[in-house]
Amino acid sequence: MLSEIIFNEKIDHELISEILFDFHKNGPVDNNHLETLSYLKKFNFRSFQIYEPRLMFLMGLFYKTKEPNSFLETIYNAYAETIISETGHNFTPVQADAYLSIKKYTNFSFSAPTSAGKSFLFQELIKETQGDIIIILPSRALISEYLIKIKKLVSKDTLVLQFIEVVNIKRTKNRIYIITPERAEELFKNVEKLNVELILLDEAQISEEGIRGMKFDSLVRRIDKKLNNIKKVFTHPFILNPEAQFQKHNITNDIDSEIYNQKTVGKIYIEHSKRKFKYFSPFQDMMGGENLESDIVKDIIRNDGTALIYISKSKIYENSFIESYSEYIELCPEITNKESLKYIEKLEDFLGTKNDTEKNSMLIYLMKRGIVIHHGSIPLKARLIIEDFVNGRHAKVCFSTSTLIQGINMPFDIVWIDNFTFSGNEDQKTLNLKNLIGRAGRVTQEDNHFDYGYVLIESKNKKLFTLRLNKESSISPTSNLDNKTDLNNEDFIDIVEAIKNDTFDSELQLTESQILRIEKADLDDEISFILDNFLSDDRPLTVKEYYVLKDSKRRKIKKAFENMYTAHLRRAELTNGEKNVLSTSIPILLWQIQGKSFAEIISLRHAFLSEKDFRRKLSRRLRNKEISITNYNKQLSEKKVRFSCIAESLPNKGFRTAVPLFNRNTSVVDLEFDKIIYDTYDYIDKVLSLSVKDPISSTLILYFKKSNDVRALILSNYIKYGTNDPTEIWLLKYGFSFEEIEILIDHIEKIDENEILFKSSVNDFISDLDNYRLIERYI
Amino acid sequence: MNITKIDNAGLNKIPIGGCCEINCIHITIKDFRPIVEEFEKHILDTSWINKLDELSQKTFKATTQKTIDKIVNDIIAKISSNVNTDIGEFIISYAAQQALEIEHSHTLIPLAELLKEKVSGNPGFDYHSISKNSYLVFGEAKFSLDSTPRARALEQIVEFIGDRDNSELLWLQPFLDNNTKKNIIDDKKGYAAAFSHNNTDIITTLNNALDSDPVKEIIKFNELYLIAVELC
Repeated sequence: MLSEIIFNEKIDHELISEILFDFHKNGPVDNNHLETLSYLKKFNFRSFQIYEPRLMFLMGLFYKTKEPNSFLETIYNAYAETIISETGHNFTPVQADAYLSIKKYTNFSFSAPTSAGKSFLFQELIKETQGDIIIILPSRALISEYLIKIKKLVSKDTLVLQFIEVVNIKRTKNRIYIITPERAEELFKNVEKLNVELILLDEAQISEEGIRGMKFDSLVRRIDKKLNNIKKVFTHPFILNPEAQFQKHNITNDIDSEIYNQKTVGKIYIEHSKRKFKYFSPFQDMMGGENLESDIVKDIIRNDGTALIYISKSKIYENSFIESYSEYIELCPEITNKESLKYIEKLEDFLGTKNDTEKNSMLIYLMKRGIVIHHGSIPLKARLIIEDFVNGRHAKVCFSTSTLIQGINMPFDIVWIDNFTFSGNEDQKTLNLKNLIGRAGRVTQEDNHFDYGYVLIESKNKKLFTLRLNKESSISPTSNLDNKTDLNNEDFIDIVEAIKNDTFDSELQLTESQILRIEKADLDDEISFILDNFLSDDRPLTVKEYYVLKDSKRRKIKKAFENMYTAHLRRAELTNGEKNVLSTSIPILLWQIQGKSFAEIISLRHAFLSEKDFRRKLSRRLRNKEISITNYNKQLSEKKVRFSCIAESLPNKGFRTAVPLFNRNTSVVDLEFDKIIYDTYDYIDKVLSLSVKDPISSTLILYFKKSNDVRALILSNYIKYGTNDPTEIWLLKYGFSFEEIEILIDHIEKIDENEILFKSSVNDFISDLDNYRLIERYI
Repeated sequence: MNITKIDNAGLNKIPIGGCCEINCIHITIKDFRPIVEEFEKHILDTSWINKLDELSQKTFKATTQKTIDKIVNDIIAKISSNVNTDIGEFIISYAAQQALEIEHSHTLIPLAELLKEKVSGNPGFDYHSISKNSYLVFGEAKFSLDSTPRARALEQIVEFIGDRDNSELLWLQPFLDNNTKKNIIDDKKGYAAAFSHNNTDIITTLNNALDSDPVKEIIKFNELYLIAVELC
């Protein structure tokens, strides 16, 4: 509530009694009250302290309470003690109720707002589960976050992997697999070997997301059928009907659902227009807003607070955000703290930008000032470093796109919503908005301390913001699998049908109809051409070798790859744009196969696009005084960057023509290095991993089955795994990355599904703590 | 609970003249546990946590019983704490209301209605009743394990007169009949001061109270009740 009464010198007794009594009866569910409390604390900090101890009891935040000071608090404390004796954990009432429901029912679905403490509940559940756990998550970013947390949480005889492989059998007591719905197929292949006790489906609202939702739904049906008696937990942000997960699939076996709407953090809402800031209330505004005397964002940054600025990806790519937010960026001086600098050093190592004046990375430049950028095209490893940097309180400002919305646990003092575009249908937009503002306000562990944060929006969005904030979201009680979907995009017809009919081949990661199409397509000539020309001594060409090939040959290789890729589609021809993406991905794939690190790949790509050879020659001429400095500068600035098409997920017949990564008139000296980082990662991730590797390597496997040409299998392995070395393939199945394999492989004696046997040299290797942690589960 | 009306004739400090009707009561309570339990039940019945269906009522009951045992034992052993003072004031309020109802036929405003104030911990009167003469009586309760806080109770009343009592009218409104409402408009009302009694002589305590400055203020209104409560 925003009212004159808030700004009085004393806290109004009647008002606070009303709120506390409402919390006693209904719990901390009313956003309006939480907003009022935030204001009361802000403007009457000292007097508010009197109420904070009992507020913590009334809100059920028992981890922030001290000795009870009144009879009422004693009764609440008895609740806290009951929870500990009933659950064995220091849970909030919401966590305790959910925990007990999970224990009691085979199928439990619940919804709870951000910061309800879902992560802590899961942590405790995971710790006490004896058997195997499957955790289904919507994004790989979230998987990485979970992987790191869970590995720290469980003992070393628990295998924790981001895909389902039954390995390290000898040294494993139980297993935790953290996967996306897309990777869950392997579960059913291995189900006999596993002892699944718990399946957690976090952020289960993914069921609403088109094809991904259908994959998720299909998975839910299969686990209900094949793992009927295994405990399953569906969780959602706050939605009205978590039971819809059961209705969608007619699940009736020992089900229960619960909606928890209790919040832990208050919020103050501010609108912004032309550098003017004004309090407003989306719930009850009795004074038509109230102007702020100063710039709240600056105040927060100056007072060591943190700000999240939600902006569009295009603003980040165009760097226009630098100018728009320059006054805030200026408030962040260069970091000198050694601890903070370690993260930057780590990131520079990963990106290869250290002491390299040619690679001007805005990402690094800003991070050195405690400002981070976070979006989906930042390599996952870099993103994790950035997230650690933020969570360790080293960052002051974070510019982020929607990647941050889903789950990732990074709270800020203020969330500024500059970009008001949210994806999905109206329900999803509302959910996404609420998830985003859920980042506002850090939950501290401080006793007797009510936490609140700020949400800042642009005045022009106030109406829509208020509307969405006051609307509850639901998910559909029917599955998209049962809807007669009218897909006007032929590229997705196969996958939808395969999901519906359960005809997806998990080995080849293709649908039956796609396999049939590949088998029917006459690709023998193309494949044998590739095997003859793309492989040399049973290994793929290096990028250098590839570019030494005659143009005609290289064109033929590209064409052959195009045809191999196209064979699984319903259409005969790729668009020009798609062809360009595929062609650009080939050298990147080759660099990967050569074992180049990400830093090396972007460095090579940077050299190529920025005409490094030309620049080097030009420098030599300058040094040899063949040209003047003016001439040198002129030639350099006139030299334009090479064309490269931006990465795009395939297939996408809407991507008709190639879109250049850099404007054609960009001089080689003006090339932005960050764009190469982002685009290269997109190529590795969206194009190669998610679009190209499966159909091409599977096509090769099918050819091998037909022709018995072992080279097809070799190339398939190279494309799928990046290697044909059995030890390396095993190490990949153990969850190691190529960077890790490189430092590890010399110490491996033998490896199979049972265990890794190390050479004695490993003793030296593990004297380094990081190295020890890397392999502690396997020794 | 034993309630004894004290005859005004035995009190030599009863103010002479004026329109205020003064009544004094002495209460002794042997078993106050049921009063604590009633308060506990009331808190439980209204709390959101109780509505969460998976928490075992049985375990919870056992925990609160242990908590209450401790409180009761601490009060008996005269171990002082904020919690004991808080519940002590409730016991005093409860006893005072009972006495007003039984001895003076007052209509009581249920103590449960005060839970809102209890929850916030805001200062205010601790109990309310309507007398036979249709005066709303505002009650203050003060608890102590080893002293007789009658002065604090009376001073508190004086502090609240004209301020707290008026602001409480808003929520008291639905419990008031027309006559009482009319009296309030005419500023006709009463006050009750209940307090722990740990002295040896009740008459001395009451005389001292009657002779104190706050009483001179309070008797400007229509009724005054002095209620001494002994836990034994």
